[in-house]
Amino acid sequence: MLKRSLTAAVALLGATTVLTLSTTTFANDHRGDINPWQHCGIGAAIFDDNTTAAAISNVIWDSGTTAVTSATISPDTCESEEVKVAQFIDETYDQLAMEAAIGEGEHLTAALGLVGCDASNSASVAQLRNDLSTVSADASYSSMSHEDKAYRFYNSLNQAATNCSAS
Amino acid sequence: MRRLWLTTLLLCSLSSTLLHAEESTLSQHPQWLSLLHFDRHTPFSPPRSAVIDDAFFLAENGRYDPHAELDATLAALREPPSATGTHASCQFPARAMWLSSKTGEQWPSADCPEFSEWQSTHHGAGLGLMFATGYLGNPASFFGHIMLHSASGQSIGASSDPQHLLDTSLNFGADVPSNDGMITYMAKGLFGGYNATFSNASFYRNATLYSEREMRDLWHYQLRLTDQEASLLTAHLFEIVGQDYEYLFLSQNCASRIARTLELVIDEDLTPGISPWVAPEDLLRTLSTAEHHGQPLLADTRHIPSRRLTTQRQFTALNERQQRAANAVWQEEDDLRLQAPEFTKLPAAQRSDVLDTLLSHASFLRQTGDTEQLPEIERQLLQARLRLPQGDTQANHPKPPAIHEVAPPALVNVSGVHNSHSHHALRMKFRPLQYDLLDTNRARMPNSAVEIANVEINADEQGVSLQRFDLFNITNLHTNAITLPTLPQTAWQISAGIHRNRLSCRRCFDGVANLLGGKSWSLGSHLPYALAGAQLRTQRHYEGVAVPMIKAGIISSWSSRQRTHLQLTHRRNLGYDDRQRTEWQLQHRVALSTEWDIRLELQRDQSATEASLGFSRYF
Repeated sequence: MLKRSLTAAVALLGATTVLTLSTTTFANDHRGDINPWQHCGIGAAIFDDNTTAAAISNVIWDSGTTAVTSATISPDTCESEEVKVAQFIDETYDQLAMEAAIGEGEHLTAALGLVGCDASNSASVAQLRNDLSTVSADASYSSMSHEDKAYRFYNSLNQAATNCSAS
Repeated sequence: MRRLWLTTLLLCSLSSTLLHAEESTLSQHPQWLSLLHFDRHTPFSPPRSAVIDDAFFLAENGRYDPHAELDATLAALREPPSATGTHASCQFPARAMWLSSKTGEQWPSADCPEFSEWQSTHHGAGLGLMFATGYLGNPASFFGHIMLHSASGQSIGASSDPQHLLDTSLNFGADVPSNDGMITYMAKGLFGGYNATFSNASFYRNATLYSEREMRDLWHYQLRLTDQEASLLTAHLFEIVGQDYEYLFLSQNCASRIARTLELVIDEDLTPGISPWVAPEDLLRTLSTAEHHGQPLLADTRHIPSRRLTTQRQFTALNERQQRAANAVWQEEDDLRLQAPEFTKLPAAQRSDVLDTLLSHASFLRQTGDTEQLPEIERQLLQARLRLPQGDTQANHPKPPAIHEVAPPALVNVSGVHNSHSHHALRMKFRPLQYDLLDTNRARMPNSAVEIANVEINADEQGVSLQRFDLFNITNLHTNAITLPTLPQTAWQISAGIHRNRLSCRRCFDGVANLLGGKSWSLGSHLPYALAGAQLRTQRHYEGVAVPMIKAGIISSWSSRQRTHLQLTHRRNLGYDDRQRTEWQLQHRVALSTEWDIRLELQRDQSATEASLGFSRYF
């Protein structure tokens, strides 16, 4: 019985590791435009897990703390509008996913506004809902890293922006 | 020729004297002192700027001498520009604007790319304040937090802006090293040792921190400033972002610093001059009554509910069938049943409302402690919601009262007292801060109390005597207002003070500290609770330095103006003798207005019974 449990645990660990690696590499291997999470250090300790410490210090913000981690990406690239969009998604992904599922909300409106779309543009919202539906259809979504979820939403939003400008 | 030379010399001398006199006047002008952040004179320290960064001053002694700083600033402004962005008008654009308006001088044109970008970002922005309500997770946040807020492109009085998350917040906060413990933090906060800075960030970051993580409501106070005032203030904000300031938790804090900053364009003392502390609430109350150019300074307020409140509202707005369905779908923290018949039988639109509420609740749970299954539950909720048509059908919720519209924090109460042992007395109570469990207003953290430095004094035929002194009494009943599953949350109470040993004794004082934890429940308008813990005390009249203690009570809200609190306390003198102490207390409050109430109190212990009735004034 113990052996069987151990085997199952090892199998589960292996499956989880493969799953984690595969989801992480999605962001790393992307060869299109810049990946703000990979190249500009987005999400690195904007909030730590210790919310008490964050509250104690009243959180001193500094919009210039995002680190440039790739020699091929210049600091200017990481000051671009695209990175601002990525920062917004990284910070508010949970609200964005919820509002995308509902189809409306302040975070969704702001995200669409950042890419030049009006929240009333039904094609853009439909694009985001479809993409979220696809990405969350598999149970692996619940163990996907925050960065990968945010990066996929970022790509989806860019696609929605294309639809929006085309309509 | 000699006469002409003498006349010219005299004119130059006169001109120099006049100019000097004008500069002396300007250097003491309230706006110049505001630009330099010279605080009001205090009897204990010479006037000086609250800014401690040398780079903020152009004169060597500028932090202490506003006249020297004026001379140095004028000289620097008159210099021809050298490298891009380094001219004084680039570093200190508000000083340049203000001095130009006062002297009529024009400064050499300089290329200021950083300031130009700042101006462009904040052009036409509505300047105001953002207030985060009190938070009991950290002593420094008990009284709320306030930030400057720049709402891009917003017209005065606009009640909502769909892009408001992209506005800018300017946060004044202490720079606290992460390795400072709570004791160090409190000591340095109260007595000095920390610096503070203004920092700027997109508002969505603060919304995430305060609304989504700490479950604090936010209030946007929109101010009615002229374009010129907004322009000067915006330029000044550019000057002060990133500068190091003195910081003291009570008096040199976010509220006092923001008040001083606003006084650059508002010709009014925005904080009390003699109070040893300045709370954000004080500033908001002053702003709410201030007049500016013959109109109310406060243009409008906007409420941004916390995630907790959003979920509560959504759940409350569901009809009975929908609420049953929500409870059937999510009965326990880690068990989601989307196939529950109560849910599947609902029409699609009603299912959408239920799922929207459950998604919001999941978001709330994520911040109050993850369960292992929560990510999968969220995924299933997302999938279920995505299969239904888009759109939120729930109605708008009425705006609750803002903090300046509810009872102020300081209280004076005068009561007539009858004690079965010592007979009649007159009792005066003074509580400078903040609110108790009988307060019924909705602008503060629900089901909690923060009482600081509460003192009660009796006067009777035997003279004047202390009744009790509470150094602090903090309660958080942490009640879950809706029936959806939550992780166990601890109700707690911590207090310390000097109390009488029993009702029948005038001078039996002991120092007492209570630490209690437990649970509370929401039963409609009634809120029962049970707490257990220990009492630590001095032993002048008590036996035993630490005894176990239990406390149980119920708070009943009869209406928005009336609330009753019944409380039973039992202490057991384990290991000392057989004496046990059981007391009960009944309090009832009737609010007459936001400034007045009537309070009735009955209490009994093993030695006497006491009744009191009196009026309270809030200010």
